[in-house]
Amino acid sequence: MQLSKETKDIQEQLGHYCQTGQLIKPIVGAKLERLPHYRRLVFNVIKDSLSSAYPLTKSLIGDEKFYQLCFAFFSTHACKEPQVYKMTGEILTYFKEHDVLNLKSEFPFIEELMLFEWTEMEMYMMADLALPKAKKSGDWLHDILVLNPESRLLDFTYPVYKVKPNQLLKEKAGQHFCVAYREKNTGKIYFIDVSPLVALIISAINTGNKLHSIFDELNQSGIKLNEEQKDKIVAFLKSESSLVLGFIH
Amino acid sequence: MIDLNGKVGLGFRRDLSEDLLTTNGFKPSFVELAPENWMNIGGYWKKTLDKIVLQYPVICHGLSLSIGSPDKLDFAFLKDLKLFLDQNNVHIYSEHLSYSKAKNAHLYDLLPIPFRQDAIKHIVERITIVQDFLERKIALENVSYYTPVAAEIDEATFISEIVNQANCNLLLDVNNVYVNAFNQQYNAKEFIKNLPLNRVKYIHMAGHEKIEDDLIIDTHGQDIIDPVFELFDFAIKHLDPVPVLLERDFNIPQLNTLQKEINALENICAKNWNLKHAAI
Ligand SMILES: [Fe+2]
Repeated sequence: MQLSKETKDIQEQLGHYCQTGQLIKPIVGAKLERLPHYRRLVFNVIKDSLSSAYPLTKSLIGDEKFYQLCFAFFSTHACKEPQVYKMTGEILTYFKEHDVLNLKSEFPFIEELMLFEWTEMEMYMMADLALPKAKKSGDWLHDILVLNPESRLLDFTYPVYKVKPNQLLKEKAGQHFCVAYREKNTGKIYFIDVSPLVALIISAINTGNKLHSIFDELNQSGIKLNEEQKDKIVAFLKSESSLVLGFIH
Repeated sequence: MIDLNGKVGLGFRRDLSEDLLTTNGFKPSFVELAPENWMNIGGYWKKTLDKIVLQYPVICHGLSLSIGSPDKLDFAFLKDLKLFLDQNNVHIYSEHLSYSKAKNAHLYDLLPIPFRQDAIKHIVERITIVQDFLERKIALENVSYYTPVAAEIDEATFISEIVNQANCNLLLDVNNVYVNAFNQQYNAKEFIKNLPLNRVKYIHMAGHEKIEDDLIIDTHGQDIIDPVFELFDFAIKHLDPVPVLLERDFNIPQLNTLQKEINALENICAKNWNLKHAAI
């Protein structure tokens, strides 16, 4: 490398200062009173991007704690993503391992709330996936149902996707399923609450199983559905035209 | 390829997308966008991007290349970048002569590089690699800075040595020259005259904010002030026609205010460059 160790050290010192606000030693030839502007400008980018990615989390814990969390994250974690919006996803992995503000004991659902907010953002921005070829009409029971490739089946311990954050403290830990998908025309992300049974059926459809054989398998494993229940499931799939895109005969 | 020399474009922000895509008479000659905000995306904003690319010539101005960084170049990023430039028919790609990454941590802002000989060699080597990889010349911008860091040579020499040795282009940000001349107390016109002006292929113009008696911050959040227009008028007298960009990132005003600034820039271009053309 052409760069001398001394120059490299100086550059890294300034970088470290911007990241942490701490100066290990004075930076050669720099006006010390000007350095806080860099620190401020850098941290503003972080605060603003995280605030717009996690508005619910921010309003739940309040601005002060939220900014403390941003600070703890950015000052101890080396951000890997060259794209700022992707950087906002890095706080999730950080937060899994580091809860310096003890937020999880106060808000047991907070990690899931952040995951929900990130999922919405990430799915809204994610690159387009090619639409599989599917026929517009077909047999709901005996054809393969083609699901929107831009969809995900999610399970949560707390219903973070349907209950307002300030009401979540009243919720007990449980099992909550939803399907998230990106609607083709508007690009909006929808989170549809589904029962554990429908979640199971959707994941079976995703692996290429036809509905009638899914029902058979459920039957064999002791989950017996009457005709009305089966009709309801088909009606639900029919109503979600942005989730079920068509048929393969 | 449309000739953008002497034309005035606008920095593309998401809040401006509807105005730029409706037929309301507001149509800058080109738009500039940061590839980092638009690459690897889909959905609504990808559709918007596709429409923009159909309706406007697009120039790219990057944020995360970190050409002056002590860290290694990020080839995965460069690969995505090249694909983005190719897919969107982008002919001009510029970046900042600064660094935004150290010790493998992105800092998402532009830090000043020590004006030193070893930094020159380091950056020249990296520009060469980047230009080879992207299979195009890049333009590097003189950035605003609020303190020099471990400088051993002057800024104009630093910039000139780099663009000359690396055989790359220069993006002259006139507002940054003004901001730096004020903050570091040097003569802006002298500074411009000391740059390799034959390498200037693109110009940026913007507003700034004076936050202390002796400090201006380059915010891109205000209207362009008259002394910066005057410096622009001075600078382009020494240049061949190139594209000129109005950068406005915050505090975005009414369209007619933006249009007035665009018109003012176009008039200065016409005054200086049309005369020059007539004389040839
Ligand atoms: Fe600029």
